[in-house]
Amino acid sequence: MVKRQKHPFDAFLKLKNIPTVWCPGCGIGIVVNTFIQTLKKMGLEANQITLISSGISCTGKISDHLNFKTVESENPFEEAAEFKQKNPQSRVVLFFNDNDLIVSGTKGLIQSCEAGLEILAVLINSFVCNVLFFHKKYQGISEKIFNLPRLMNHHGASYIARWTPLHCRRLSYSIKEALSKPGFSFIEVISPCLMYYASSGYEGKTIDRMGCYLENAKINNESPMKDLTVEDLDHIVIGKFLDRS
Amino acid sequence: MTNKGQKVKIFVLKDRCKGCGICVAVCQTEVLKLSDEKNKDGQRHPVVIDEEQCLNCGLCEMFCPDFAIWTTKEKEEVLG
Repeated sequence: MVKRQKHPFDAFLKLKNIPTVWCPGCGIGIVVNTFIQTLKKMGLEANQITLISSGISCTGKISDHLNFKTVESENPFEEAAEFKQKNPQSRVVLFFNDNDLIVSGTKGLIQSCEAGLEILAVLINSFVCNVLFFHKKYQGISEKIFNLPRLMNHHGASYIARWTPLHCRRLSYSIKEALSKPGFSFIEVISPCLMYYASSGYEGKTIDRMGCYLENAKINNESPMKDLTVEDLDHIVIGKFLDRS
Repeated sequence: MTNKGQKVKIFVLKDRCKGCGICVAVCQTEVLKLSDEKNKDGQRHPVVIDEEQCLNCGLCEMFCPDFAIWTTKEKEEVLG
Protein backbone atom coordinates (compact mmCIF):
# COMPACT_ATOMS: atom_id res chain seq x y z
CA MET A 1 0.00 0.00 0.00
CA VAL A 2 1.40 3.37 -1.00
CA LYS A 3 1.00 6.06 1.59
CA ARG A 4 0.07 9.38 0.04
CA GLN A 5 1.54 12.32 1.89
CA LYS A 6 -0.85 15.13 2.60
CA HIS A 7 -0.03 18.79 3.12
CA PRO A 8 -1.73 20.34 6.20
CA PHE A 9 -3.53 22.84 3.94
CA ASP A 10 -4.90 20.27 1.48
CA ALA A 11 -8.40 20.61 2.94
CA PHE A 12 -8.48 24.21 1.66
CA LEU A 13 -7.24 23.42 -1.86
CA LYS A 14 -8.79 22.10 -5.03
CA LEU A 15 -6.26 19.34 -5.54
CA LYS A 16 -7.03 18.78 -9.23
CA ASN A 17 -5.74 22.30 -9.98
CA ILE A 18 -2.51 21.94 -8.00
CA PRO A 19 0.31 22.78 -8.92
CA THR A 20 -0.87 26.34 -9.31
CA VAL A 21 -0.78 28.34 -12.53
CA TRP A 22 1.44 31.14 -11.23
CA CYS A 23 5.10 31.65 -12.11
CA PRO A 24 7.80 30.17 -9.82
CA GLY A 25 8.11 32.30 -6.68
CA CYS A 26 5.19 34.61 -7.48
CA GLY A 27 3.93 36.65 -4.53
CA ILE A 28 0.33 35.59 -5.16
CA GLY A 29 1.17 32.07 -4.01
CA ILE A 30 2.68 33.39 -0.79
CA VAL A 31 -0.38 35.58 -0.14
CA VAL A 32 -2.72 32.62 -0.67
CA ASN A 33 -0.57 30.49 1.63
CA THR A 34 -0.66 33.24 4.29
CA PHE A 35 -4.43 33.59 3.89
CA ILE A 36 -4.97 29.86 4.52
CA GLN A 37 -2.58 29.94 7.50
CA THR A 38 -4.57 32.81 8.99
CA LEU A 39 -7.86 30.95 8.57
CA LYS A 40 -6.34 27.91 10.28
CA LYS A 41 -5.07 30.07 13.15
CA MET A 42 -8.49 31.69 13.56
CA GLY A 43 -10.16 28.28 13.57
CA LEU A 44 -12.30 29.05 10.54
CA GLU A 45 -13.25 26.39 8.03
CA ALA A 46 -13.51 26.53 4.28
CA ASN A 47 -17.31 26.82 4.19
CA GLN A 48 -17.35 29.96 6.37
CA ILE A 49 -15.58 32.10 3.78
CA THR A 50 -16.89 33.33 0.44
CA LEU A 51 -14.51 34.47 -2.27
CA ILE A 52 -15.79 36.86 -4.93
CA SER A 53 -13.51 37.51 -7.86
CA SER A 54 -13.74 39.15 -11.23
CA GLY A 55 -11.82 36.35 -12.90
CA ILE A 56 -9.49 38.88 -14.56
CA SER A 57 -5.70 38.41 -14.56
CA CYS A 58 -3.61 36.21 -12.26
CA THR A 59 -5.49 36.99 -9.04
CA GLY A 60 -8.72 35.92 -10.76
CA LYS A 61 -7.30 32.40 -10.71
CA ILE A 62 -7.15 32.29 -6.90
CA SER A 63 -10.75 31.09 -6.73
CA ASP A 64 -9.86 28.19 -9.06
CA HIS A 65 -7.38 26.84 -6.53
CA LEU A 66 -9.21 27.31 -3.23
CA ASN A 67 -11.94 25.07 -1.93
CA PHE A 68 -14.22 27.93 -0.79
CA LYS A 69 -17.62 29.00 -1.97
CA THR A 70 -16.70 31.18 -4.93
CA VAL A 71 -18.66 33.65 -7.03
CA GLU A 72 -17.34 35.04 -10.28
CA SER A 73 -18.83 38.26 -11.49
CA GLU A 74 -18.07 41.15 -13.79
CA ASN A 75 -19.03 43.58 -11.01
CA PRO A 76 -17.51 41.97 -7.91
CA PHE A 77 -18.44 44.83 -5.55
CA GLU A 78 -22.13 44.81 -6.56
CA GLU A 79 -22.12 41.04 -6.21
CA ALA A 80 -20.54 41.38 -2.76
CA ALA A 81 -23.18 43.91 -1.66
CA GLU A 82 -26.01 41.63 -2.79
CA PHE A 83 -24.43 38.58 -1.20
CA LYS A 84 -23.87 40.44 2.06
CA GLN A 85 -27.52 41.53 2.16
CA LYS A 86 -28.70 37.93 1.80
CA ASN A 87 -26.10 36.45 4.18
CA PRO A 88 -25.15 39.07 6.79
CA GLN A 89 -23.15 36.59 8.89
CA SER A 90 -20.81 35.47 6.08
CA ARG A 91 -17.24 36.72 5.74
CA VAL A 92 -16.56 37.94 2.21
CA VAL A 93 -13.04 38.27 0.82
CA LEU A 94 -12.16 39.78 -2.57
CA PHE A 95 -8.77 39.41 -4.22
CA PHE A 96 -7.81 41.96 -6.86
CA ASN A 97 -5.03 42.78 -9.21
CA ASP A 98 -4.36 46.36 -10.27
CA ASN A 99 -5.95 45.53 -13.63
CA ASP A 100 -9.42 44.91 -12.29
CA LEU A 101 -9.26 47.30 -9.32
CA ILE A 102 -7.48 50.47 -10.42
CA VAL A 103 -8.24 50.43 -14.14
CA SER A 104 -11.79 49.14 -14.33
CA GLY A 105 -13.12 48.72 -10.79
CA THR A 106 -12.52 52.05 -9.07
CA LYS A 107 -16.19 53.06 -9.12
CA GLY A 108 -17.32 49.94 -7.28
CA LEU A 109 -14.42 50.23 -4.85
CA ILE A 110 -15.28 53.81 -3.87
CA GLN A 111 -19.02 53.14 -3.64
CA SER A 112 -18.66 50.09 -1.39
CA CYS A 113 -16.05 51.88 0.71
CA GLU A 114 -18.38 54.85 1.28
CA ALA A 115 -21.27 52.52 2.05
CA GLY A 116 -19.15 50.81 4.71
CA LEU A 117 -19.70 47.35 3.26
CA GLU A 118 -18.30 44.74 5.64
CA ILE A 119 -15.83 43.00 3.31
CA LEU A 120 -12.09 42.50 3.05
CA ALA A 121 -10.53 43.63 -0.24
CA VAL A 122 -6.97 42.42 -0.82
CA LEU A 123 -5.13 44.15 -3.67
CA ILE A 124 -2.07 42.28 -4.93
CA ASN A 125 -0.40 45.15 -6.72
CA SER A 126 1.69 43.72 -9.55
CA PHE A 127 2.39 47.11 -11.23
CA VAL A 128 1.39 45.61 -14.58
CA CYS A 129 -0.69 48.69 -15.45
CA ASN A 130 2.27 50.94 -14.75
CA VAL A 131 4.38 49.67 -17.61
CA LEU A 132 6.63 52.73 -17.57
CA PHE A 133 7.51 52.23 -13.91
CA PHE A 134 10.22 49.66 -14.64
CA HIS A 135 11.52 51.31 -17.78
CA LYS A 136 12.32 54.74 -16.42
CA LYS A 137 15.83 53.58 -15.66
CA TYR A 138 16.49 53.53 -19.39
CA GLN A 139 14.25 56.22 -20.81
CA GLY A 140 14.19 58.89 -18.12
CA ILE A 141 10.41 58.75 -17.77
CA SER A 142 8.93 58.45 -14.31
CA GLU A 143 5.53 57.03 -13.50
CA LYS A 144 4.20 56.91 -9.98
CA ILE A 145 2.10 54.11 -8.53
CA PHE A 146 -1.42 55.23 -7.66
CA ASN A 147 -1.78 55.91 -3.92
CA LEU A 148 -4.74 53.70 -3.02
CA PRO A 149 -4.40 53.82 0.82
CA ARG A 150 -4.92 57.61 0.68
CA LEU A 151 -8.00 57.21 -1.54
CA MET A 152 -9.45 54.60 0.80
CA ASN A 153 -8.76 56.79 3.85
CA HIS A 154 -10.53 59.70 2.16
CA HIS A 155 -13.63 57.59 1.49
CA GLY A 156 -13.87 56.22 5.00
CA ALA A 157 -12.37 52.74 5.07
CA SER A 158 -12.04 51.30 8.57
CA TYR A 159 -8.81 49.30 8.17
CA ILE A 160 -5.89 50.01 5.83
CA ALA A 161 -2.57 48.17 5.68
CA ARG A 162 0.15 47.61 3.13
CA TRP A 163 2.73 44.79 3.16
CA THR A 164 4.95 42.85 0.78
CA PRO A 165 4.89 39.05 0.29
CA LEU A 166 8.05 38.61 2.34
CA HIS A 167 6.39 40.25 5.39
CA CYS A 168 3.91 37.39 5.49
CA ARG A 169 3.72 37.08 9.28
CA ARG A 170 2.66 40.73 9.61
CA LEU A 171 0.33 40.24 6.65
CA SER A 172 -1.20 37.31 8.51
CA TYR A 173 -1.88 39.49 11.59
CA SER A 174 -3.43 42.13 9.33
CA ILE A 175 -5.77 39.64 7.64
CA LYS A 176 -6.77 38.33 11.07
CA GLU A 177 -7.55 41.83 12.38
CA ALA A 178 -9.38 42.83 9.21
CA LEU A 179 -11.55 39.69 9.19
CA SER A 180 -12.61 40.17 12.80
CA LYS A 181 -13.57 43.86 12.49
CA PRO A 182 -16.68 45.53 11.08
CA GLY A 183 -16.47 47.92 8.17
CA PHE A 184 -14.58 48.05 4.91
CA SER A 185 -11.03 46.67 5.19
CA PHE A 186 -8.38 47.21 2.57
CA ILE A 187 -4.99 45.48 2.42
CA GLU A 188 -2.49 46.21 -0.33
CA VAL A 189 0.30 43.73 -1.05
CA ILE A 190 3.12 45.11 -3.16
CA SER A 191 4.28 42.24 -5.35
CA PRO A 192 5.64 43.35 -8.74
CA CYS A 193 5.12 40.90 -11.58
CA LEU A 194 8.24 38.76 -11.88
CA MET A 195 7.98 38.48 -15.66
CA TYR A 196 7.82 42.26 -16.22
CA TYR A 197 10.56 42.65 -13.69
CA ALA A 198 12.78 40.21 -15.56
CA SER A 199 12.15 41.86 -18.91
CA SER A 200 13.34 45.28 -17.78
CA GLY A 201 16.93 44.44 -17.09
CA TYR A 202 16.92 43.07 -13.55
CA GLU A 203 19.00 39.93 -13.34
CA GLY A 204 19.14 37.08 -10.87
CA LYS A 205 16.96 34.34 -9.52
CA THR A 206 13.51 34.83 -8.02
CA ILE A 207 14.77 35.15 -4.49
CA ASP A 208 17.36 37.76 -5.48
CA ARG A 209 14.64 39.83 -7.13
CA MET A 210 12.40 39.48 -4.09
CA GLY A 211 15.21 40.48 -1.74
CA CYS A 212 14.59 44.13 -2.62
CA TYR A 213 11.39 44.05 -0.55
CA LEU A 214 13.24 43.21 2.63
CA GLU A 215 16.04 45.70 1.99
CA ASN A 216 14.00 48.64 0.71
CA ALA A 217 10.66 48.37 2.48
CA LYS A 218 10.50 50.56 5.59
CA ILE A 219 7.83 49.92 8.20
CA ASN A 220 6.24 53.16 9.36
CA ASN A 221 2.79 52.76 10.86
CA GLU A 222 2.48 56.50 11.59
CA SER A 223 3.28 57.66 8.06
CA PRO A 224 0.98 60.41 6.67
CA MET A 225 -1.24 59.11 3.88
CA LYS A 226 0.11 61.53 1.28
CA ASP A 227 3.63 60.08 1.58
CA LEU A 228 2.57 56.56 0.62
CA THR A 229 3.01 56.92 -3.15
CA VAL A 230 5.53 54.42 -4.47
CA GLU A 231 7.88 56.47 -6.64
CA ASP A 232 10.68 53.97 -6.73
CA LEU A 233 11.18 50.37 -5.66
CA ASP A 234 14.01 51.67 -3.44
CA HIS A 235 11.56 53.57 -1.23
CA ILE A 236 8.52 51.55 -0.22
CA VAL A 237 6.66 52.55 2.96
CA ILE A 238 4.69 49.68 4.46
CA GLY A 239 2.74 49.25 7.67
CA LYS A 240 -0.67 49.26 9.26
CA PHE A 241 -1.82 52.79 8.51
CA LEU A 242 -5.36 52.99 9.80
CA ASP A 243 -7.54 51.12 12.27
CA ARG A 244 -10.70 53.03 13.15
CA SER A 245 -12.23 50.51 15.52
CA MET B 1 21.31 27.36 17.45
CA THR B 2 20.31 23.81 18.25
CA ASN B 3 17.06 21.96 18.03
CA LYS B 4 17.38 20.52 21.56
CA GLY B 5 17.02 16.91 20.53
CA GLN B 6 13.49 17.12 19.18
CA LYS B 7 12.65 14.93 16.25
CA VAL B 8 11.59 16.98 13.25
CA LYS B 9 10.49 15.44 9.98
CA ILE B 10 10.54 17.43 6.74
CA PHE B 11 8.20 16.49 3.89
CA VAL B 12 8.69 17.64 0.30
CA LEU B 13 6.13 17.01 -2.44
CA LYS B 14 8.57 17.27 -5.32
CA ASP B 15 6.01 17.16 -8.12
CA ARG B 16 4.31 20.32 -6.82
CA CYS B 17 7.60 22.26 -6.64
CA LYS B 18 8.43 24.90 -9.25
CA GLY B 19 12.03 25.41 -8.16
CA CYS B 20 11.84 29.02 -7.02
CA GLY B 21 14.35 28.41 -4.20
CA ILE B 22 12.59 30.50 -1.55
CA CYS B 23 12.64 27.66 1.02
CA VAL B 24 16.41 27.25 0.59
CA ALA B 25 16.96 31.01 0.98
CA VAL B 26 14.82 31.48 4.11
CA CYS B 27 16.15 28.42 5.98
CA GLN B 28 18.24 29.68 8.90
CA THR B 29 20.19 26.45 9.54
CA GLU B 30 20.90 25.40 5.94
CA VAL B 31 18.93 22.19 6.12
CA LEU B 32 17.78 22.35 2.50
CA LYS B 33 19.46 22.63 -0.88
CA LEU B 34 18.23 22.44 -4.47
CA SER B 35 18.59 18.99 -5.99
CA ASP B 36 20.63 18.07 -9.03
CA GLU B 37 17.90 15.87 -10.46
CA LYS B 38 14.71 17.33 -11.89
CA ASN B 39 11.07 16.58 -11.19
CA LYS B 40 8.44 15.82 -13.82
CA ASP B 41 8.13 19.52 -14.75
CA GLY B 42 11.89 19.86 -15.18
CA GLN B 43 12.40 21.92 -12.00
CA ARG B 44 15.03 21.41 -9.32
CA HIS B 45 13.17 20.67 -6.10
CA PRO B 46 14.62 21.05 -2.56
CA VAL B 47 16.20 18.06 -0.83
CA VAL B 48 17.01 17.66 2.86
CA ILE B 49 20.73 17.56 3.65
CA ASP B 50 20.79 17.59 7.44
CA GLU B 51 17.44 16.92 9.07
CA GLU B 52 18.89 16.95 12.61
CA GLN B 53 19.65 20.67 12.32
CA CYS B 54 16.02 21.58 11.62
CA LEU B 55 14.49 23.87 14.26
CA ASN B 56 10.88 23.35 13.11
CA CYS B 57 10.56 27.14 12.73
CA GLY B 58 8.10 26.65 9.86
CA LEU B 59 9.54 29.41 7.64
CA CYS B 60 9.79 27.14 4.58
CA GLU B 61 6.18 26.06 5.02
CA MET B 62 5.09 29.66 5.55
CA PHE B 63 6.80 31.04 2.43
CA CYS B 64 6.23 28.18 -0.04
CA PRO B 65 3.94 29.53 -2.81
CA ASP B 66 3.11 26.03 -4.07
CA PHE B 67 2.19 24.13 -0.88
CA ALA B 68 5.03 21.69 -1.52
CA ILE B 69 6.96 21.59 1.79
CA TRP B 70 6.05 21.25 5.48
CA THR B 71 7.51 20.08 8.75
CA THR B 72 6.14 18.11 11.68
CA LYS B 73 7.56 17.84 15.17
CA GLU B 74 7.20 14.12 15.83
CA LYS B 75 7.71 11.37 13.33
CA GLU B 76 4.01 11.07 12.70
CA GLU B 77 3.01 10.72 9.08
CA VAL B 78 -0.21 12.30 8.02
CA LEU B 79 -2.11 9.90 5.85
CA GLY B 80 -4.64 10.75 3.20
